[in-house]
Amino acid sequence: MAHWEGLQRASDVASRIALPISDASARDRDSGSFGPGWTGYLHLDGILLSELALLSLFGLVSLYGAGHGHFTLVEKQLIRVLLGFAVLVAVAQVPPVYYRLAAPWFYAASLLLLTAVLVYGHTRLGAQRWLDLGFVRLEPTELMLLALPLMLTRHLSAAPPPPDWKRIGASLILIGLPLALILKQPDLGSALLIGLIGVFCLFLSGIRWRYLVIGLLLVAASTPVAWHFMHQYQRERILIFLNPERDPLGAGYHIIQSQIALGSGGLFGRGLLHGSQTQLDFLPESTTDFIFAVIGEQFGLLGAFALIFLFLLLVQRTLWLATRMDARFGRLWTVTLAFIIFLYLVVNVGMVSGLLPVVGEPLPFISFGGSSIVTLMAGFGSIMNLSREPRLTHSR
Amino acid sequence: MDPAVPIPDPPREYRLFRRRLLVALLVGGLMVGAVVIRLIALQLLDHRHFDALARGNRIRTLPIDPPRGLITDRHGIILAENIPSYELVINRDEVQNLHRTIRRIRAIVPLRPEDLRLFWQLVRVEPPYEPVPIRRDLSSRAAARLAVNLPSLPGVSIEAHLKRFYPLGPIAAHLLGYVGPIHSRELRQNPGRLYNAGSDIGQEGLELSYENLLYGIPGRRTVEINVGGGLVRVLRTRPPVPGDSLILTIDARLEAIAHAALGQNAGAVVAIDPKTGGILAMASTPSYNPNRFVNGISNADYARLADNPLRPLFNRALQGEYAPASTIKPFISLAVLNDRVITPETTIYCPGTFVLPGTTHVYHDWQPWGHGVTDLRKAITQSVDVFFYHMAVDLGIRRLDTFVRQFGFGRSPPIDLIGARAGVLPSPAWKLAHTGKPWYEGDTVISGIGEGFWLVTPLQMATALATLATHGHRFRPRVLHAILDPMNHRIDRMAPEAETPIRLDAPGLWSIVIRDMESVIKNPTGTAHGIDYGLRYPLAAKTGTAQVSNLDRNDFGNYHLLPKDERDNAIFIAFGPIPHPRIAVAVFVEHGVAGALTGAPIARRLIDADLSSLGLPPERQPYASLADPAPPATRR
Repeated sequence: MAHWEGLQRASDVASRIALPISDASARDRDSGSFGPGWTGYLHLDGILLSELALLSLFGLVSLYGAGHGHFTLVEKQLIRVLLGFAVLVAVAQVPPVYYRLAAPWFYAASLLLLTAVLVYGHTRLGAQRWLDLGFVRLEPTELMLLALPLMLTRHLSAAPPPPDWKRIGASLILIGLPLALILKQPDLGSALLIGLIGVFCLFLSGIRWRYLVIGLLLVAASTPVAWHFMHQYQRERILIFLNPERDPLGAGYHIIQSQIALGSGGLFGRGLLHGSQTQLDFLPESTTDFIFAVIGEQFGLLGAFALIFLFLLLVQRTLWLATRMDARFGRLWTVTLAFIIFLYLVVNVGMVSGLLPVVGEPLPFISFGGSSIVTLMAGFGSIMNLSREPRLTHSR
Repeated sequence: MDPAVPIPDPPREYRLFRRRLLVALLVGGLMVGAVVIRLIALQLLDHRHFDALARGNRIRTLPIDPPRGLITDRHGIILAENIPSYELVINRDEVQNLHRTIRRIRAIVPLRPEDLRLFWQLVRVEPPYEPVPIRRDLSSRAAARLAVNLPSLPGVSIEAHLKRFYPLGPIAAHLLGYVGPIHSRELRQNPGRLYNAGSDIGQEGLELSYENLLYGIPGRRTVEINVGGGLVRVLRTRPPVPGDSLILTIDARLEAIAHAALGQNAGAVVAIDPKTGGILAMASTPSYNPNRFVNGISNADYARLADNPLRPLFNRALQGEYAPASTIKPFISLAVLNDRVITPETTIYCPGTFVLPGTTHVYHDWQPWGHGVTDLRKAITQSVDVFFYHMAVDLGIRRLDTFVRQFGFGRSPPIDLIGARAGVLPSPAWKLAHTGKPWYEGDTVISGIGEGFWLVTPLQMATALATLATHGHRFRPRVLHAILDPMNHRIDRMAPEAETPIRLDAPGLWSIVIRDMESVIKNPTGTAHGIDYGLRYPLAAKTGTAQVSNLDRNDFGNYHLLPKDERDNAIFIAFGPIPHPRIAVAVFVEHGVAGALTGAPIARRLIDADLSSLGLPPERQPYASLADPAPPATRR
């Protein structure tokens, strides 16, 4: 097996080196981006880049509304967005082989930081999530949300599908370690996200259906056990989700207020800075986890749909790039990243609209916060670069 | 290891990948569908329900404006306070038809066009749930008439609040400034959401300069209201934090005397404590009544003030720029002594005119027949122009410039008030930059008597004089003496801020010039000998008379023949008592004919009032609300 891995890597490298120039321009035409201009030169994808920029802009406008019309948050976030784009461009310049080589280190570092957060972390809302590095507050969970899929992708793409039970077992350990650490924080929402991403990776890598079904049955059976180990506030959240009116001024407050905000927005919204829920501070966490409610209140259903549409466009473009890739690793990794974005979107909007329990996950590119935007931008940098990899065949 | 190593089969792999991706897309599509349906349900189908929840029976936070800090003089006399007042407020969320409601209000109390303009302005910027005032400062009669009609006017309410009041009216109006209702523009910037529609904000003077101290932190009252807008219950109250009170270095009595002494004249008086830099009085006339501004001044009233040719809104003490005329001579004397251009014994013959060598233009002395043989003492005492023409030319504009600049001329004084102007210290560089013309020797000549391009403000002149009085020890001029925190009654005193002192080569030179200035009053030939009568303490002074119109020479005797606005400006500076000065005064009277004629009596009244009431010569008495005495004086 090691033999195969080595061979494959060698062939990857060889094909990259031996790329005829005419083939490169053909690839640029083929990938449907702006052609061999500066995006091609920088291994970027123009369409994806503009979609990311559009999303970030949407986020800045929403932050302006959520921040009562002040520019303080907007300015801070703008710096992070710009930093994110810089990281994106930088990552896109790294030869793709290194992504695979870096994966274990990245994974190990994230794991280490997750451990550190348990020891030195700062407690917020009953959970230790932040690591104060002096100049920046780091949320290692956000790093892990990218490090784990990268590591899994590397591991699962090392052999042709379907993965055998050894490979599956190793994958489960890879998923299980961060899952346990995040559950210890405790951050139920992120743990679920990590688990889902892991399962998705396995699923996409071609795991046999019977394993999947057995796994799902096992998870279903262990739910009562999990309930037993849950923190009181986590149980409370789930109960509140089932019935928000349990405690309208306490734990159910978030869901009720965010639904009122969305609902009162109507079709066209109440206008920028004119939503009473946001401006009178009825809406909690309006700049972070609940920013979608701000958008719904101020810009209405149309604004909410516009944002969702933008996200779906982003996912669509990412998937399209994945279908043009030959290397197993790149394909798996790209689709997983699209899945992460999609999952964030569905979980966040579902949470804000009362479809899912309050799990406290941000809306990427829109919510105020730095860790997620920078790590995701790095991810997009890598897939843009991978999409610029030479194609081996053109006929399918 | 598994013996059957799978052999890579890219097409098969790709097909598998496609199948799995398709399944994922199907599941993803279902999830998006669920979210979309949920949003449609919330935002379209249940919109009315949630809209009612958001608008109607709900919790609301109401702002509570903090009581503004008081302003008192150094003895605790109140200069600005807060008195109760009623205002009419409209809550648009509960009003069906805004125009009809306003019509019905107008039937009960008259509304001025300015009220309505401000109201509509605020309506445009304020979100619909914020209450907006429509009429401020209701009389109690009007408030009562409205109160009985309130049940038929849903959304309209009368609110009692505090309004600013300036008990001294026009006295110290420019210094204190005034507050006014916040403008929509300011409200939009509104740092930290401190202000609400209808909040007062400092517009001028101290009220503006110390807005951040005076304002305080607004409170919030969280209340539950019913559909009609009625209060159901108060859930919680966060009380406002009142603004800090300011204790000024100003002496209200001196301020009033300065105001009265200026009378009908346009002019300014600045009195300063040379040993601390504290401003004792700062008056500018004509003045205005700041109380008119508090609830938004009417257009007619404002037009009257703005169109007045004497410009009552203009703070002459800080912003009036005048030629210093002969009052600059003591400073030039110091310069020539320090640079050894002359000694105190040097004499110059004054024939009444001065001509630059090699030119023909004649510069006149104020006394057509001249002063004869003149030394420095005589030159200052009698204000001999020809002597200072010589001094300026011998010293040269560059040295004159560098020396006099140290006294703060040509730059805006670092006072704790917004808007102090810089004046003009004439220099070749300045002239080239502002007129595009080179410097002529003739410009140097007239700079020697404080004419030409020279411009100083009364505050600058008083500060410079204070520096001279303390032999070069400079203090940052300031109006704030202490800050009183109304919550714990702690007083935070501002220590005098010393700036780098001016050092002369020979320290004795200060006393020489000061003694010469003393003889301006003491000596029977002195220009200000007229105020010597009954003077119980030694004063140092200098008169100044600045030409306004382009007349060839001064013509004091016939001033009554000239129209008022062509008469010369009168300037007078004085400080005393001489060994340990306690007050330095600069008086500027526009078209006051001559410094000795109009300026000197004003300064005398002011200094008399300050010194005589205290008894001579102890330290200044303790400040009203302070236990400890004034800071120790600077040593000689």
